[in-house]
Amino acid sequence: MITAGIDAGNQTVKAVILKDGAILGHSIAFVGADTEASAQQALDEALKMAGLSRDEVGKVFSTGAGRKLVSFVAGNATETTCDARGAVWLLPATRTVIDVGAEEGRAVRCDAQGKVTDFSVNEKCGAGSGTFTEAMARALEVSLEDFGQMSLGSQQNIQMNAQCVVFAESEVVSLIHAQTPKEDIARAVHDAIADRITSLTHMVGMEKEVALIGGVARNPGFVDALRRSLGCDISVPDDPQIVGALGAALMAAG
Amino acid sequence: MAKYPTKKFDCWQLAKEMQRKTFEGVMTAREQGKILIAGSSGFQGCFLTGLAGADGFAFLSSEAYGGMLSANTELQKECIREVERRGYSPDLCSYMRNYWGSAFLNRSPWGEFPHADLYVQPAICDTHAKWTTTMAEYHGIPCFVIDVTEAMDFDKQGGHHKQYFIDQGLELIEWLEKHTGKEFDDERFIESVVNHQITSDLWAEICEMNKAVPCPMDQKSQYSLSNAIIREHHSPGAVRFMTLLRDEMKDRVAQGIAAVGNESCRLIHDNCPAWYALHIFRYMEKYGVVCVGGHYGMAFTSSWAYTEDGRLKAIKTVGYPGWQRPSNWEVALRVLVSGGGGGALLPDAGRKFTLGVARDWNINGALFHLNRGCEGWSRGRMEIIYALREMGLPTSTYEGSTGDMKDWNEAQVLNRIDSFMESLDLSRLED
Repeated sequence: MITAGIDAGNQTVKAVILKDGAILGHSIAFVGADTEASAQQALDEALKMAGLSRDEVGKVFSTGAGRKLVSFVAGNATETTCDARGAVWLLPATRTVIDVGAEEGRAVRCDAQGKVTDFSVNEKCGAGSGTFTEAMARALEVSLEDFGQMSLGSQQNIQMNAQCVVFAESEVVSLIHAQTPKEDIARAVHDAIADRITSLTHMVGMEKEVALIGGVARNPGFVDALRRSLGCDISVPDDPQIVGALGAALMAAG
Repeated sequence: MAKYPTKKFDCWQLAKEMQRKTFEGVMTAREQGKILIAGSSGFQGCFLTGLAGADGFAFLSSEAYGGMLSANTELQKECIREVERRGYSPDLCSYMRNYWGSAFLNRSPWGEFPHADLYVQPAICDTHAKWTTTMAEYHGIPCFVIDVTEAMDFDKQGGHHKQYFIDQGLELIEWLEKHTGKEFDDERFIESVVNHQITSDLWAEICEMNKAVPCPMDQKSQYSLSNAIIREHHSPGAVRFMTLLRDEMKDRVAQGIAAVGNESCRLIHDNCPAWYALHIFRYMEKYGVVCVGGHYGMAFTSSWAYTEDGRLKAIKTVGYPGWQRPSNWEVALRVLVSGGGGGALLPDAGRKFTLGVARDWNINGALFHLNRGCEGWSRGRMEIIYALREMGLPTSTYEGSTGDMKDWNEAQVLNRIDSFMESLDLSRLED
């Protein structure tokens, strides 16, 4: 049976096409004003990659903040449920899933079947999300890609005191004025987010193995900071952004 | 087809009528030549009855009024905006900000703000004393603050705490006589203390009946039906109402009448709810969830005790074999001080109480409102959550404020609830 999952996030829509335990296609599209149209676009692109037509897909499930805005699906489930399902399917030893997306950070504890046993979400605050890194990269006038890599070259550990995105940006500017190397500032930013996410993770009672998913998992500086903060290794799947959509496709498959 | 029969509460209309009469009494107190006294809900109703008789005064319960403004979304916005415009911090108690905003704007849901003649305020949390002293200064009226915060859990305190409270009670009586010209009547006071005990006993008995499966009274209804004990626990009217409600609850349990027809999951909900968003309880019902109670609500004026093995139990403080009516006002005051109750606003007491409910009320999980609008009820909530998790009970939280919609994100809250429901293996039964 061919199924599809759509993760309608705050910044991007992800789609995954699944057939008999294999991912045939996936895609990522930016969310426009019309979530439904963005979801349709993401699905079309994933279908194109899979070499399939829409008629060949059985059930489609949605997840993500905009999941209820996608009308052409058979059902929907929350990001929490789909993250766990998708992560355990990809990395079966996973028992704790950390998802850091554009606007939310989330820690989920789950069992061997990918069923959620506890979860905690950082919402209403940008400090534990991708928005934080974007704002800090802007303040340093470097691209997001360079920002992550840059922090790996840091030679000294400095402390970011501000936990709020707005005040942290001011602190970054102060550090620039103090001629602090950009590498050290980048590391301090990643350490601050990692500490926040670590706190969330301990709230649910971290159990190994730990998987990191979501867009921020593509940032090597953050991955390094989180490993140090948690004090353990973390697994990052090849396409960490599509794990929620994969979970939705698995839900659609039943 | 629902699993269980459901039925509206027969005494629902009576509860609404009592509420209407209370606020009507507040708004017309001056025309009727009654003293209007405002302040936090608490035991002071007994003192006021001793002074003026049950019908001789009108009482504006500041929390009930703040809560009502919180539910009035349009007026709430204006009240909160007015208070912040005057430079007060948005992290102060949201009930208080609504109350103050209503006073500053001189507007209420029924016309002008009901200006009190006196304030009598038990300082039951870190905000309450300032709430009324600020208002008393603003309106230029006398105010009496009773220092009780940490003495609320009398079981934990030494005898000197009780004596401290009793001494303040004596001061209050003299103060009330001085400011009203009325004479305190010991007999009326004793009667009101006994009424207070009866309503306390009845409320605990009522809440204890929610152990039944199916649960006869959902938490949203519990909030509404508890109004009588919040506003006028000392009055004969409250005794009559609570007796009716208790009898109706007995019938509902006997007949298996459910609050939620498809009850399949029973949750504790704790902390004051967001009064403008009570629909989240109905939202959860679509998953077959009934919220059976929590420390906030069950531990209002109520008679609880713990058995030797730590089980929470409703008790009788009146009418048991050997019970004697207080012989004089001082004995009555000591009785008032020694009443049961769940130690409202005390984190340790909240943990003990919530664990008691989790143990014996057939609970499947707990949902906590991380409430930015009430410091008193929010103290120690995370510790309670950890204690429940140690028991193996699934828990979740959502953020909000009991009386300030600026702290509310409906989509995020519903998403959080959806996630929690899915983790409990619940799916929506209806749309």
